[in-house]
Amino acid sequence: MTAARRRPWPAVAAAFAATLALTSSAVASPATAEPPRTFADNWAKGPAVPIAAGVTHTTWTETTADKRDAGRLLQIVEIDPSTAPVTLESAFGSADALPELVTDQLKASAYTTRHPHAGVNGGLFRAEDPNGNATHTGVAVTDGVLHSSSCWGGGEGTAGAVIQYGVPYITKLLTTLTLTTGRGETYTLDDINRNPGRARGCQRDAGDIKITGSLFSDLDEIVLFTEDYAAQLPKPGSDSYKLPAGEDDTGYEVVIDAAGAVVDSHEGRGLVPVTDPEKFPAGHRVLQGIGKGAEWMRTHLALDDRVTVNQKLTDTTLGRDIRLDSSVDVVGSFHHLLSNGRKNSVPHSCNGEVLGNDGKTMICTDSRTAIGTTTAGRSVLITLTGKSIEDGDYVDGFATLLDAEPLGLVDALNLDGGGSTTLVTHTAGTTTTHTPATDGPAPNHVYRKVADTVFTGHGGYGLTAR
Amino acid sequence: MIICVNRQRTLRRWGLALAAVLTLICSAFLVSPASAEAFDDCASGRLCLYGASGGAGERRDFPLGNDRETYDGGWDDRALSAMNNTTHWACFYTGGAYGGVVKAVQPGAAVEFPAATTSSHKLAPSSAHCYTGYERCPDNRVCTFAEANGRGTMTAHLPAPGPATPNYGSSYGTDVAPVSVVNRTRKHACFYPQPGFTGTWTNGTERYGAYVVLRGDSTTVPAPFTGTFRSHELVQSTQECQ
Repeated sequence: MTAARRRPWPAVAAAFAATLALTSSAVASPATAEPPRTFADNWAKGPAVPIAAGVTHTTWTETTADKRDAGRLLQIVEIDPSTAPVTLESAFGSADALPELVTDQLKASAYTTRHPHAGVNGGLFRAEDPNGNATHTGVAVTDGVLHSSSCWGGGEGTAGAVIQYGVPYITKLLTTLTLTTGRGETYTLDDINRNPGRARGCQRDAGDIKITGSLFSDLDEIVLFTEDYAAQLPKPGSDSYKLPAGEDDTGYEVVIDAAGAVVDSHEGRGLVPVTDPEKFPAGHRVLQGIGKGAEWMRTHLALDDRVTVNQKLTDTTLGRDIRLDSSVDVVGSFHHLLSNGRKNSVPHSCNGEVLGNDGKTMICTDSRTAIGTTTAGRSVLITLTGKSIEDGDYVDGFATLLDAEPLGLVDALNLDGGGSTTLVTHTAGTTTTHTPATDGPAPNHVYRKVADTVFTGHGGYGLTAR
Repeated sequence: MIICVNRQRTLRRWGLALAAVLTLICSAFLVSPASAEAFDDCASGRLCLYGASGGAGERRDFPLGNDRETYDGGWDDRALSAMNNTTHWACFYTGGAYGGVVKAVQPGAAVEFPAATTSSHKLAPSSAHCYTGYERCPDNRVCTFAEANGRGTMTAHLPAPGPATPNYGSSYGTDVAPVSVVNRTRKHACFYPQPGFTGTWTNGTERYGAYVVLRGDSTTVPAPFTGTFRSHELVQSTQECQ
């Protein structure tokens, strides 16, 4: 059928139908008692402030502070790629290894004249070593380049947002990483861009053994380092998140070029000058092995050997593989707050629990960040904070808040929060951070450097005629 | 459908008069008043279109992987109800090639159409995917679309190096007037208003010699560029745009 034969359905009817279809719990039960206060009773909506064509910023202000000293702010950046040349993407700044401020990551993602319109902090991450390096917790992909394996999640992976075509698709993600030699020998890679031997934040595969809390260990690993790691590679003996005494293997290190040829191999780790473009050209990657991983590299990888790094990203919810090409970005997390218009079961968890001002009730002051979609198919970047202090909610409380019918959300993924929560907009040449700085000791709070950022930028641009 | 089944349970308690009014409202706004049994013949894993409302009439089944940019066998503008018995969202469009007005139906739900206007459909992993059609573009191709956000008729361009351009170029004259584009190649795409990789646009005092879509990016094309592309080429650096 041609475009000329299009017949629009009544827009208001469609919108109303969509609202009905997504709020079944709200209309299914007739009121039988004094109705509880609703989202609309407690939150006042501000104007949708245009940031750029196709991008708006709306602030909801909590009017009833309840057990808090002051109401909170729920801020939503809404992105409509059907009306304007806007993208949804992720970025990591100048080096994947190094956490950076959201503002710096946005600046680094494009030329000054094409500064992104708005962005928030991205996926979960952990500090890695004394150099200040950080490691992603869960899948992280930028422009099709995988920067971290998935969390194991019992073989199903953990939640992440696959950002492609201007839309975040939230699902459980599992990576499969293998190294294959030209002779057909294979070895399973354990992770990407982190210190071999121990994983922070989550178990990466079934072989990782819990040391304490969320610290896991595997003393027989091979870890891949991408060319954009761009910082000092891990060295033996520099691990500040202790492996068992004497078990930080000196290991083995191999450099492969863009074509997959082994161009260097040597004992030890951290010896490759990855930040020197003359000695480490574009497309080069490094393999670090310890224990049996190092032994496999010693016995299987020689100069001029050819190797292939196979990376598979699987959406375990729908049982399909997602091809990693330059249109794909991914940010990882643990908690899928809303799916198909319904609140999911998520934990009542919080790091910053304090006594409310009624002197009896505990409240959670963890700021929150989320990414999601609306009933109209638009993407949203969301933060929940105090006006000038850190405040927020439990994870399940945040999910309940986002499930409010006036917000019209269908899917939402909880991203990194607490002191990481940051919302930045850029309009008419001015960059504004709309969330309070809450990291570090009071009263000298600063904005936290984070591992990656989700932002809306320019889908295309006119090039001035010569 | 879920809503109205629940609604009708409530309505029985409220009385027939009110029920009649609300059922009328329901049907007017596309939500199915049919009982779940009406769509029971739709097998698991199938999207079922029906020639009559309430899951009645002739039925046509579509498994996952059988999306339709057009219908054969006279099913264009014919379905009056549908059951989505798949794990994916069902996206219905009043235009062919995923164009026109969108209706997204969640997994496990049925839908009533007020008129037989459905001309294409697809099954998508999320509701938001119903509003974009960029996913159709094959790897390593530039694709252009007749409607915004990768919807409507798509053209996947095969690069054709030749004397007119040192780069991989595609010239499509007046055949295509793209409203949106996606660049799934490993190079940047420079679009031009002339078929021969030339021309300029003027917008106020600004004069543009190319419209650039970086590798991996997709975009709805804004004024003054929208609907004017006649050729494009692929470059390693945008400094190579002609």
